[in-house]
Amino acid sequence: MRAWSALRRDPAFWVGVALAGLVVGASLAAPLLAPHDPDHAYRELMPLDGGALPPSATFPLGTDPDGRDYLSRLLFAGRATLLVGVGANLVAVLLGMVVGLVAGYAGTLRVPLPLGHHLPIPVEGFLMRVTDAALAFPALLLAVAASAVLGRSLGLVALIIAAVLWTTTARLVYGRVRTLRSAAFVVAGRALGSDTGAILRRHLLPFVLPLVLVYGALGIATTIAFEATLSFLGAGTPASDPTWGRMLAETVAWYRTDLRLPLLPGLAIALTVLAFTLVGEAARDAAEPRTQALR
Amino acid sequence: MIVWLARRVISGVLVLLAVAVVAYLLTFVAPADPARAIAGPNASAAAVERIRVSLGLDRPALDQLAAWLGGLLRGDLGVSYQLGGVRVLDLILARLLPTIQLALAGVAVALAIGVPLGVRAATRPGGALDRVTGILGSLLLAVPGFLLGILVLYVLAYQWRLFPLATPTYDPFDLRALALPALTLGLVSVPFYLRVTRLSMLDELGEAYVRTARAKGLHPRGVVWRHAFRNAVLPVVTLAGLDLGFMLGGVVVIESVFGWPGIGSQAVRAISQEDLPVLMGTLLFGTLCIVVASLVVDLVHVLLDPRIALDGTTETA
Amino acid sequence: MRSFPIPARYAALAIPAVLAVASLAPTASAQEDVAPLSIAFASDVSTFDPAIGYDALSFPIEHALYDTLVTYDEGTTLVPGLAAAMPTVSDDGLTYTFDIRTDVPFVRQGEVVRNVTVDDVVFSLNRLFRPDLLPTPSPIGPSFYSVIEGADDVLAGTAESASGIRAIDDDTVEITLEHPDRTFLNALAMPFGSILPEELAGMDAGAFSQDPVGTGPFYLESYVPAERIVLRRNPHYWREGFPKADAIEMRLGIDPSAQLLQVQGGALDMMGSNIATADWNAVTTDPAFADRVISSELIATNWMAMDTSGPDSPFTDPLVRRAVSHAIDKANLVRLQNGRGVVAGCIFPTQLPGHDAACDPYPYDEAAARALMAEAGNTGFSTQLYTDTSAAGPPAGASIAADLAEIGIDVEVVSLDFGALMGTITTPHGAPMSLIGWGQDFPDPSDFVDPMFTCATAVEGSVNVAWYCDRAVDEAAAAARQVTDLDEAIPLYQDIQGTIMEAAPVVPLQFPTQDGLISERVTGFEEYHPVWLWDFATIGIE
Repeated sequence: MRAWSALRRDPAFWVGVALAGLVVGASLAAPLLAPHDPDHAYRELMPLDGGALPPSATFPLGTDPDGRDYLSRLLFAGRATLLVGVGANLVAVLLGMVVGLVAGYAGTLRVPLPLGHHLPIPVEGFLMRVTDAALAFPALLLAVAASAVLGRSLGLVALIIAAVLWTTTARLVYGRVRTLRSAAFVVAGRALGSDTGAILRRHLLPFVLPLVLVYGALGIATTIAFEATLSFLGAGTPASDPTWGRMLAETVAWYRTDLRLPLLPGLAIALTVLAFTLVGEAARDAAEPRTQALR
Repeated sequence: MIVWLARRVISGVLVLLAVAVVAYLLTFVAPADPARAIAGPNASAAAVERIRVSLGLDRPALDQLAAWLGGLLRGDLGVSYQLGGVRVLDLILARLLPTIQLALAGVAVALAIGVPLGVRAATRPGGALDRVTGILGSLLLAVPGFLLGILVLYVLAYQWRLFPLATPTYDPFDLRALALPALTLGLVSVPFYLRVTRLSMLDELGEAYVRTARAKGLHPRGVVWRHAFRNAVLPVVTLAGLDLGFMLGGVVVIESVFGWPGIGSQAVRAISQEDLPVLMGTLLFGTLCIVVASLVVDLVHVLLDPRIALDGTTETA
Repeated sequence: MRSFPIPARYAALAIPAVLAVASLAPTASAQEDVAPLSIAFASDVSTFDPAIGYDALSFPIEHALYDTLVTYDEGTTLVPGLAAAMPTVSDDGLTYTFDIRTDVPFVRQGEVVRNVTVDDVVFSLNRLFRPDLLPTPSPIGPSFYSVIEGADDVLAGTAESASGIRAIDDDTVEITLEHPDRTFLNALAMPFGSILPEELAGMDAGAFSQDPVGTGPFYLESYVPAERIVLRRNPHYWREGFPKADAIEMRLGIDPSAQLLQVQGGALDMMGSNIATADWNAVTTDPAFADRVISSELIATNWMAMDTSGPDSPFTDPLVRRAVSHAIDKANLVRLQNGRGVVAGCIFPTQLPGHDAACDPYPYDEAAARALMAEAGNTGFSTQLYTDTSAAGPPAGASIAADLAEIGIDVEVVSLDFGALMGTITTPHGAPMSLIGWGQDFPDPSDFVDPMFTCATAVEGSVNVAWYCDRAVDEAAAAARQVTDLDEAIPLYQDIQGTIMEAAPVVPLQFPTQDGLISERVTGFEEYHPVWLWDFATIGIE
C-alpha cells in the first residue's frame, strides 16, 4: 500500500481522475445533458450549399452537415467510444492476463496416467506459440477485411480490437509471472498444498494486477486511434452508432471548409487520452519501486 | 540451436497456414459473387459462367482451398480480379521497393526522435521531461495516422509548398517525395520507441555497474550513453525489427493518404474493390514479413545475449 | 477487370516499367516543351480491350485509343468516324451501307502498322459475339448488337461471321438488321464497336489489352497497373488538328480530395472525380478557383429502387410505393450535395431526348403519403435500404430513413462497398430498397427503359433491382425502339415513362452533375462531354 500513498500525493493522478470522471460522467449522462435528439436533422434550418451550422444559442457547438446537433452527437458518441476504448481494452487485458498467468505458472503440465506414467502437456509452449501467432496477424488489414465482409457492428469492432491487443498483455504478464514462479512465497504456497487456482489468485494476481491496470489504461489511446483508423478505411463502427474516432474519420475531409467538424471529436479524444494517461502514468510511477528509489 | 531454429520455422509456417486459411474463409463469406462482379452489370449469363469456370469458382470449396494452398507452395498467389488478370505476386513485388523505402525511413525518423527523448526521460524519471514526453507520447498515440498525414500534407506541401503534393512517378532517389510520408509514419511510431527506450534505460540505470560507474565519478552523460545505453539498446532494436516486419506488409493508412505506391495502398484499393486475390495475397505477404522479422529479431537476441534460453519463449514484447 | 492467366512477359512489363519511367523522366521532359495533360482518377482500369471494358473510365480511354464507324460531335449528334460519311439506310430501315476510310492507319507505339480494311470492320464486329474470345466472351457487348442479322449464330458458336455483316467491296461494308432499330448507330458509336486490326487483336482479349493497337487520336505508351497510364499523340491520326495535347498522363487510385488539392497546388491538371461535398464550399467561395470549376449536368439519374415482386418484399403494393415516392424530401438530398444537381420528377434526365420537365407525379407531400399508406391499409413495417459507402450514400440513406419514419416505415440503412453492394442488390430480391444511379450508354430514351424496366432484365446480375416486370411496358418499349425517327419516338417513351411512374418501382431522386476543378493550363474544356465526359482528343494544354 506504499504505492497508494505515493499515488495519493501525486497531483497529476487527481487531475487525471477528475478529467476521466468528466468524460465518463458526461457520456453516461448524455440523455440528460444533450440539448437535442442526436439523430434529429434540423433540415429546415440548413443552408442550401450543404454546409453545417456554426455554434449558436440553439446549437452550442453547431450542427453537422446533415443538420444534427453536434454537442448532442458528441455526448452520445462518448458512450460508444468508451465502450470500444475501455470495453475492448478490458476484454483484451483480461484475456491476456489469464493466458499470461497460466502460461507463466503452469510450464509443462504432467497429467498422471495409469502405470505411473505421465503425459506432458506443454501448456506454456503452446500458449505462447498462440500468442506469437496472434501477434503475427496483419491486424489492421485483417480487421478491415473482416468488417468489409461481415458487415459493421460495434461489437465486432470491439472484438477485433480485443483480439489484436490481448497479446501484449499476455507477454507482459507471462514475463512477470515467470520471474515470480520460483519466488519463495509461491514455492511455499505450493509446498503447503494450496491448489493451483488459489496460488494464482492469492499469490500471483496481486503482483500482476497493477501492471495490467496500468497498461490497460495506457492502451486506451491506441485503441481509440485504431478504431478511428478502421473507420477511416471504411470499416469501424456503424454510422448509426458513431464513436469519436468515427466522427473524426467522417469529418476529416471537411478540414478546409469547416475545421470545427473534425476538431471537436479530436479534442474529445485528446481529453480522454490525457485523462487515462495521467492516471496510468501516475499509477505506473507509484508501482515502480525503482523509480521511487532513483527519485 | 538447430532444434530451436527448426521449431521457430515450423511455427512460422503454421502461422502462415492459419492466415492462408483465414484469408480463404474471408473470400468464402464475401457477399459479392466475384464472377458476377468481374463481368459487370447486365452481363450475359454465359460470360459470367465462363468467368466462374476460369476462376475455378465452380469447384467445391475444399477443392478451391486445396488449389489456393497448392498455388501458394509454388509461389502462385493467383491473379487480380480487377486488374485484367495481373498476377498478385507481380503486383506485390512491383510495390515492394517503395514500401521498403518508406518503412526504413519511417523507423529511422522514429528512432531519431524517440530514442534520445527516451534516454533523457529515463535519466530523470518523474521529472518534467519524463512527464511531458509521457503525456505527449500518449496523445500522439491517439492521433490516427490519417489525421496527421492530411494535416502534414496540407500545411507543409500545400500551404508552405515545401514538399511535392503529388508524386506521379515513383523515383527512389526523390527524397523530397519521401519526406512527408516518412515523417508522418515516424511521428506516429515515436511513442513506442520513447516508451521502450525509457523502460529499458530505467532497468539498466538501476543496475549495479551503473551505480559503480557513477560512484567512481565518471561523467554522468558518459555513463548514460557509453555504458547504460549500450546495454539498453537490445529492446529498441527488437522493436525496430518487428516494426519493420509489420511495415513491410504495407503501411496501410499513410500510404493511402500520400498516394505512396506501396503494398498498403494497394491493399486498401483491393478492399474497396473486393479484389479478393490481391487482398489475400497481401495478408499472407504481410504475415510472412512479420514471421521472418520476429525470427530474425530472436536470432539477433540469441547471438547477442547467450543468457537467453533457447526454449523459444524469448521476450520480444 | 477480367481474370485470366497472363503470359510471363507481363512480369517483365510491370516491374521495370516503374524504374524505366523514372530513369527516363529527365530526358523526356527535356524533349517536350509542355508537361503532359495530367488527370487523376479514384478508380482503376480493368482492360484496354474494347470488347470487354464497360465502365465510366474504360469508355473515354477506349474512345481515345480506337475509332468507331460513327461517333459523336462535341454534343450528342452522330457524325462519321471510320466511315467516310454517315451510312445510307435502306427504305425499310434494315440495311446500313458504310463507306470505310481505308486510308487510315493502325498505329502501335507511334509506328504505322498498316491501313484499315473492310475485313477489319467485319472481324471487329463479329469478335463481339464470338463465344471463343479469351479469357471470356464480351460480357455485355452482344446485347447492344443482337439486332444484327445472324448475330445469334455467332453467339451460339455455329458461325464465325454473322450473315448480316458483309464486306461488299474494298471500301464498303453492309450491315443488315433483323428489324429496324433506331439506336443501332448509337450502339455502333459505343467503344464496343471499335475497329481493331484482325491479326493483332485476334481472339485473346487479355493479350490484346496489354498491347492495344487502334486508329484513335492517341496510342497507349505505358501502363503500370493501378498506378499510371500514359497516352501519347498518334502522329498519323486522320482528323486534322487533333489531338490537341501531346500526351495524357492518367494517375489511378487518387482520392477526390487529394485530386482537388493537387489541382489547386498546380500538381495536376484535371480531376477525374467529382469535387467532394466536404470541399465544395471551400473551393467555390474562393475567387482563385471558383471560375475554374467545370460543372455539367449528366445524362444520368439517381433513384431508389423498391423490390416490386419479392416474396417477402413489403413493396409489392403499388400504393405503398407511391406513398414512399411522395414521402421523400428530394430537395434535401440535393442540399446534402451542396445544391448540386436537379431534383428529379421522373426517370428521363434533363439532357436526355424525351426529358419532360412537367413530369412530376409524386412531389414531396407527407399528407398524400400518409393517405396512400392508409388506403393501402398499411400501418408501417421495418425494412432495409442499401447504399454504397461513398461520401454521399450513407447521408442520403439517413435522410430517406428519416422521411420514411414519418409514414411509419422503419428503415435500417445498410452501407456496403460498391462491389458488395452490387452483388447484394443484383441477387434476385436481395434488397428491399436500394440507392442506385444509372448513366447513359447512349443518349436515347430507350437506354433508360430497356436495361432496367423490362421483364427480360428481371434476372440475376441485372440492374433491374426493382425486379419490375410489366408485359405492357415490354411491348411498348420494343415497338418504340423500332421507330426510326427519334422525334416520333419521344411521345411513345413519355407514355412508357408515365406507365412506369404509375407503378412506381423506383423513386427518381436526382439528376446528378459532374463537377471538377481544372488547372490554368487546360484549354478547350468548358464542359464535360455528354457521352464521354472527357473527349481527350479535344482537350488542349498550354
